[in-house]
Amino acid sequence: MTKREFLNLFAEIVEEEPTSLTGSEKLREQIAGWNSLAVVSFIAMADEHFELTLSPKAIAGCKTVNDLITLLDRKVAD
Amino acid sequence: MTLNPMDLTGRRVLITGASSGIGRETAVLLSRLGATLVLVARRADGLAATERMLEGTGHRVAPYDLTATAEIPVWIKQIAAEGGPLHGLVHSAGLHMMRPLQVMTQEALESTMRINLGAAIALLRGFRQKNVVHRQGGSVVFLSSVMGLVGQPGVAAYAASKGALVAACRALALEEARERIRVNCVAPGQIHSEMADQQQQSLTPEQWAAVEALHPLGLGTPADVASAIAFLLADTGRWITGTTLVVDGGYTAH
Repeated sequence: MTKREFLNLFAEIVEEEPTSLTGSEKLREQIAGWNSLAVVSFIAMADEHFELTLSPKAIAGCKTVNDLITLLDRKVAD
Repeated sequence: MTLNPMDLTGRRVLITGASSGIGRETAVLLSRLGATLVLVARRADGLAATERMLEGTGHRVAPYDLTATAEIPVWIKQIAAEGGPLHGLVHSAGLHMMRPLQVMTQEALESTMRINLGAAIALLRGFRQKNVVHRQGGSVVFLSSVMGLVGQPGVAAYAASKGALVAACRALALEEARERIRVNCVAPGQIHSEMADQQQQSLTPEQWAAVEALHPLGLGTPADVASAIAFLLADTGRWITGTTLVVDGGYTAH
């Protein structure tokens, strides 16, 4: 998956315009839709598209969208 | 001899989801009440582990993938032909997934409905056949959930499937009453089990604490649910059909 494709999926979860995201956004400060339900959605997405089981704890440690991409085990290409 | 109104001596019960959690705990309790079990799940190793925990003899393991719903009636007929008629059926196998709308897919919805509802109905279709259910009748218990009765964000597919069981069990109870087959649901609240541990994995500690706080008697155990299932299977439930027994530590009392 390319980074753009990932950002499009992520935009759907947090209800942002896909084209507005670059990856450098701060999750808590700049993404209004980043809430507890979005965390659950992100876990479901990681499971479905990447076959990865992510823990909420690891996700809580992420500060930016790019940090979330790092969690996906290099399955998102630059 | 002490009176045991939940005695199941001489009864044969098929139970799905028997390799873990509520299914396993129920199998163990039923065997201690005297029942002979047919243990069903996908994983043969998990079933063998459950079988080693059972009391009594004559139990068997029957690994089966319940997504093959169309073949379930023929498969159950075979089980009855080999080991004798069945008195009880428990559908404890189930699929739980947290899927907020943003990541809901038709596939996720359908796979949840297939195992939780579709397999339940196919199992009853199999169970009610001549020479499968005991001629004196039988008792069927479907595992619903409090999520089939009240809501929670992110679980629409699961909730729909569990609510569908509650509704289906009423219609099926009326359909099967003249065959002397009773059909009921048990609707547990949140319990400690392997499936619940997976759920916990997908929640933040704050979300999990909130779930826990909503159960006035605390979280339940698989044994709490097993007792309710045994009550409905045994003669204690002989005048009970088409109903849902809520076992939730007070969750839905709010």
